[in-house]
Amino acid sequence: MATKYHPLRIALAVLAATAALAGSARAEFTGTAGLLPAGTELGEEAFDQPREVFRSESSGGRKSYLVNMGDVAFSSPLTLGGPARAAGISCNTCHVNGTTNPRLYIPGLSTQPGNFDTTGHLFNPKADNGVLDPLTIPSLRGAHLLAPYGHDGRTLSLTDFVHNVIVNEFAGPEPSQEVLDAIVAYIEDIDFVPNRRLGVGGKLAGRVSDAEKRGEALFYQPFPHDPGLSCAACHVPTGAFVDHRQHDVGSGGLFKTPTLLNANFNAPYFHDGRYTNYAQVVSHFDRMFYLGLSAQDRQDLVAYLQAIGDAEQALVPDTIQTRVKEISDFMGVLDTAVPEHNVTIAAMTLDTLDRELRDLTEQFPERKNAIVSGGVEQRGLARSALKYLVLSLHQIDGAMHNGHFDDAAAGLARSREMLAAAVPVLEASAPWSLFNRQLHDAHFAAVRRLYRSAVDPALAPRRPYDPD
Amino acid sequence: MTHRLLIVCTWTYAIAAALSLATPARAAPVRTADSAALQAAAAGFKPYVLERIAESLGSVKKMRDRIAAHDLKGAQQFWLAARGGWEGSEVITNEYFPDLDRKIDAWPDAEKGFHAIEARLFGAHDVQALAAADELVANLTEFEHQLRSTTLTAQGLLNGTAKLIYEIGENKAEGGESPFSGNSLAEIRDNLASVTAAYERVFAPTAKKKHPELAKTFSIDLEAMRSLAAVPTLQALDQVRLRGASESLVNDLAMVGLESGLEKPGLGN
Repeated sequence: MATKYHPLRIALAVLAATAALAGSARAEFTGTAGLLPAGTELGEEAFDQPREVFRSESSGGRKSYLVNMGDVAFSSPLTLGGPARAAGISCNTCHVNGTTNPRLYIPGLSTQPGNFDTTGHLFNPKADNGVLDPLTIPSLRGAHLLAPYGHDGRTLSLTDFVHNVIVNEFAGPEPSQEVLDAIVAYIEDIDFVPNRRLGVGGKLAGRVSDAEKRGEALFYQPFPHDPGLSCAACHVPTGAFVDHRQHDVGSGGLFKTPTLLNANFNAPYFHDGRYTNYAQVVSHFDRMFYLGLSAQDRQDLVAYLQAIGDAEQALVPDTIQTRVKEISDFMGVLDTAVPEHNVTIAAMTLDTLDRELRDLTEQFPERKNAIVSGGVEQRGLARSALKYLVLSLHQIDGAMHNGHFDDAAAGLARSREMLAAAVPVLEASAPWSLFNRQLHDAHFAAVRRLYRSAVDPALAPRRPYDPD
Repeated sequence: MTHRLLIVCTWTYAIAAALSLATPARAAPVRTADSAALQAAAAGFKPYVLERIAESLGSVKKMRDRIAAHDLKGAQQFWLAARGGWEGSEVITNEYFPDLDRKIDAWPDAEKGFHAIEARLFGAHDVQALAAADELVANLTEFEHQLRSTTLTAQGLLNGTAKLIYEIGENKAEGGESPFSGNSLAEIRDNLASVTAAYERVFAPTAKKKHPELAKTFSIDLEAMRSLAAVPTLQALDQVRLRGASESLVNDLAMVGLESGLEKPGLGN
């Protein structure tokens, strides 16, 4: 899961007004505005999160040590460098649960929500190419089937691609081969979310509407002015709807064929996110390839794309159980790293666990929270249990750092017991926590109200996304 | 890989198990002499916090008057001054007066409390906060009144101090507790001042006498936190190390409490 939505996070966008003061006549008292550009939206407060499906678990097994370590590194800001690390941004911030982030918006690097210039000035000035050329954040679901990597398909190796993202795009330290391999193992374990509309060979199955049938037929139909081409020629249904090649489809260069699996949840579309829906995408191809589609044809193709791009429960509510499972999985990395005396991996894992647990603690609002009034005792117990777990893990960190590995092992066993003991305490507090959708929404609405009251109308920029 | 600040003594592991239960701890065996000295020291801490609250209340009243006079700059100055006294009292605010704390330092609340006023004064740059300022004056006045009739205890101060140290390690990447005014770094220092005062006046005398190694470790870890907070801007704050240092210090303080016959600190709420 690895969500990280501190209540203040969502306010960054509204803080633009205070930060805009810098250099103005009223700059004597200026807000700190955090470590990212004012107006930044990371979209971290969503109640529903992308569902995670792992190939290892789907096949009846379990995530390996490598996969869990990769998840830890993927969720760790320490994997990256510079401003990203300082601001607590990790790979998971953009690739939420290994998918995309349609709400991410960073002023100066984004032209719309969901895209972002990886060669801009902010995260690594050495990679700044002087051009605002933002790209969408690709979902990593099914990545093991989707080589080559990068929107332009420039990299055949996922390892090389991940290395470039860490070191060049985000100014991170040179990752060890162990960490790099782990991140790749994690990404390659992320599967597509099942779609029961799809049968063998990528054909529609089950109850198929007339529009979907017509759309499927059009999908396979040769283009009128170039019979060697069809939608299916590039989006190969028997092959995850990709052909592993780059094409010029009139979008400004050569870009690799994106998968259509789970694509309903990957908007905006095209490399730069220029299209927000399938209708626009279909119109683009109709125009560029002189397909001569009627309005009905376009609707049918959209119906077909929606059917093959669907997923069962692509978004699921954030829950205590999900969080605890992830924390337990992360602690599983320590089960290997501690006896191996692997101080580096243990330190990264403990840091990530610390962040996750502190984030989880904030889901049980403190007593001074103006929105949540009930369950004071239960919330207090939940917060206390999680804080003591953080303190216990901190002692493991100290023991590992000082070479007291037996103490670290004992501390890990103790921490496991504390996590198990915390679960019923957390569940008892759930009705008064931010895992309660009603309270969650009320809390974040109140945060937005507060930050809106801080906006100077004369200085306020337009927000790219406003759920209210 | 940036390592968090780690200062660990051998005794840490030996009694770590004492802190490991998720539920509140049972009372440790009470040592009468220590207990009496601690309780006396705790009661004697009240003038310190009364002074801080009086400072805060005085500034809040002036801020209220500046708001009424439509003097934005003056209101901002007194808001900042008022925060110093409030943040310098936080070892007791939440622990002893949670309901008033919820009104005075409310979050997230656009209508009442310090941060609602901060949002207007520093974010919106207007003085449309007179009702909130009146309410803040009333609530802080009541706080001062209740504080005068409250007996501070060693356990209560241990709880409040431990919670505050832990909170200092929270993420500040988004601007900290007072993002509109940019006052968060100053507030961390005010928090640390109140932690220092509580420790030195209440816990240190017993700890230095009975457990000098423990007292030394606490002082080293506290100084580490102070050094980390001695940076020019919030952006320059090494938050990973600050977080680690805060966790070391909470563990230290919990040990001080246990060794002094107190229960492990309650960290909830």
